[in-house]
Amino acid sequence: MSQNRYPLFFLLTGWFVTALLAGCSPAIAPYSPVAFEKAVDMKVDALRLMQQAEEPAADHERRIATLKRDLDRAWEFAKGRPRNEHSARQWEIMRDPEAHLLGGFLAHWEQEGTLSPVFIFESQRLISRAFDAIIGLESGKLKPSDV
Amino acid sequence: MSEPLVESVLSALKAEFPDLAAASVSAARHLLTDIREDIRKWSAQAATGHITPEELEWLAKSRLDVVRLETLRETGLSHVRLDALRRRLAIHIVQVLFPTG
Repeated sequence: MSQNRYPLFFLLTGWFVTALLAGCSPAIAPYSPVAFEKAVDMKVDALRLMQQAEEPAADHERRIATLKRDLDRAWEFAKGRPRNEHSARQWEIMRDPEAHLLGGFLAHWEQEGTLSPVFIFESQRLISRAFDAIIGLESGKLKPSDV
Repeated sequence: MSEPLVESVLSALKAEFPDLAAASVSAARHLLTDIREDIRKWSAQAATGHITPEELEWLAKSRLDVVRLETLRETGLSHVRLDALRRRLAIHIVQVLFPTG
């Protein structure tokens, strides 16, 4: 290769590599302040409502329905964002009344009527940790300032 | 009561996350120890009547769901690190090819 072609070769190679890297779609959705705030707010609301589970679920029907609606909304919001499968799956498990996180806890409370204080405490600890996993993933996503 | 339940939960965990079974890293060992301790604590609470056997089983399943969410967090964050690396590489290449000043 002649000496004159070296700069052109490296220029084209660099351009190609840059285009390849820049053109590849991100592997995961960017950070969403809305999603982050939803998760934090819901964690607070959930833990507070769970504290009432020693009382009959029928006495807290409206709050339970509101929290279930918020769970569904968070899941739908997560599902609607491109490349957001990890967060969407987290919310799916969290809201699932057949699983054993918040959706399951609310269903269990409604089914049993009241729950024992030790069970409530241990469930709060686990569901708090589950929310931390959702919040931790969202807060770890790339923000515009990270570019 | 606790040991069969501990083993069944750990078996379910290892079946769902096969890498965990062969993992020798401290994080995986810590996770398994953490779960074992939780189940033993709940079993003691069930033995003293503070929770029912059904609640013990429920908590064990809940613990597994927490592992699922935390695993999703970690795999998601690994994608974030990959994206960040690709962006830094692209910027670096541009800076090398087109230095300013």
